[in-house]
Amino acid sequence: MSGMGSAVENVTSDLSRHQLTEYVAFLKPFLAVLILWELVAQLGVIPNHFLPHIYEVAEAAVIYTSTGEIPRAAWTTLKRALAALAIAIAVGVPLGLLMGRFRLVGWFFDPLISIGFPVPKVTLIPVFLLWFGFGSVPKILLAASDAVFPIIISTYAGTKGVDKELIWSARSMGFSRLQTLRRVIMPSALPEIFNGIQVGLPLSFIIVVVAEMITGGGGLGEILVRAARFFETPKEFVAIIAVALLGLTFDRLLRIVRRRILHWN
Amino acid sequence: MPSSTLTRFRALPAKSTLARPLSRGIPIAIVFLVWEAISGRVVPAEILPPVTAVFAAFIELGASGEVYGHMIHTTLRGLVGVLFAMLIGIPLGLLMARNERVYRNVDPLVSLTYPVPKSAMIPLVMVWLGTGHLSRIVLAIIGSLLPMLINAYNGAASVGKELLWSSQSMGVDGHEATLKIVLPSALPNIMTGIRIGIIFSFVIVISSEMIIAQTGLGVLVSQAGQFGEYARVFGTILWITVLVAGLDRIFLAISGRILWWSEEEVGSI
Repeated sequence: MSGMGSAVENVTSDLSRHQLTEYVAFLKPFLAVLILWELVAQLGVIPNHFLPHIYEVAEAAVIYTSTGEIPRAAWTTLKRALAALAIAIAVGVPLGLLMGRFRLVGWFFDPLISIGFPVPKVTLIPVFLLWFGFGSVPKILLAASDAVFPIIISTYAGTKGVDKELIWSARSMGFSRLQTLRRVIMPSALPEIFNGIQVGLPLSFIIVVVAEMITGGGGLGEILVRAARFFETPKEFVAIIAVALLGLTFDRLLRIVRRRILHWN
Repeated sequence: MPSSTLTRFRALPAKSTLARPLSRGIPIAIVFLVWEAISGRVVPAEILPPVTAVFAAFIELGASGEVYGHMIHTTLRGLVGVLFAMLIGIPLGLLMARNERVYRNVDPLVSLTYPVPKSAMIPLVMVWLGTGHLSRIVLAIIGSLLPMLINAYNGAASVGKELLWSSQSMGVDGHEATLKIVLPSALPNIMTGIRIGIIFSFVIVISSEMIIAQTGLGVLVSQAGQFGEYARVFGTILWITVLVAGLDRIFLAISGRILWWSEEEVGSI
């Protein structure tokens, strides 16, 4: 997208013009989906409480945003998911690094991770309820226990993949083991670590929302189940859109952070 | 394309010695021993049932035959959904790589919906289609479609231009080239997409079963939880893990056979 303008004086207007047409091209398919939706709703083949009109959804969006119900729930879900991701990073990155650097640690955790990874973590919800009660704690910990696996695996793989000669030369230049880890290995493994975090981020959102659906305790997941139970379909769509926006926004933010930090990569 | 994060992952590095299974078994044995030792002593057995009780519950679920009906339902829901997602996602992914117009119209939808947690659709789909098989199959499609589509697209888009040019000069073009040149070259990526799709499909099916269902492994877990039978909860989770990991192994074996000619391996999450 960048570097499109050829003549220097025309660069800005050219770029914005180009970007505008690109945005329009990008939005066209969504417009088509919306029109199709409204057409089907107008035809009346599908009952209104299954498929509301678009303006009804828009109205519900205004109402539940102004009452604060949706923003409050979104904030709750967001806090839980981000706390889970933070825990997963705080545990997963050091563990992956240690596994890659110390053979004993790798030997011990490698098999445990390969059995733990395929367990669908949502099934542990009853257990986490028993251990940590209702509220936010079991949801955060469950989501963290899911998101931690890709982070460990990618950090481990990234650490093992660091050029041996790079490590040797750092050591011969008098770096301590810890210094080598922080100043040489961490930066080289960083792209892989980011891959793991990018996989872990949606996982933590998914688990938090599902846990809220099953156990309640506020958040968008609870609204999703309640609105469905009472056939409040416009509200249901608003909550789905809210979840979608959260997931999307944080995916994009993570990409920006990645580009900032890995600009040298 | 957002899929690069998915396809770049490889399974944990493997050593190939005979001592490996034994060496890998030791840490697992240590964890089980510690678990067994603290249960009922450090932690009450109601909070953490001993490993032996978990395995007893696992065997009991199988010996009584109770688990099989649920397992068959969950498996059918997950796999039928994967099948439909394959039928939609793979051709569409290939088409996106081969046809600029299709790409322009589908790519915005895919790139914006890909990072969205699909499990938010569970209650709505159940309002629409009830709580039987149909809603779960649709959920399985929703859960597994995009990884398949994106991987098929990536595989097809990375086919070398030279290969296409030389086949064109030999008179292979259009749909024939898609079938004979692009599809085989994209096959390793396509298989990776299916592998990820299978896992996503089962996660969303089991999640939906935990929310509300008459049958399925998910409801077996949540019922055992409601009755406070935690050994049974763990025993059922063990069955679910055996099912999901087992299907993954079977799929890996099948794709190894199909891809015997390829230098590329099937990737994982």
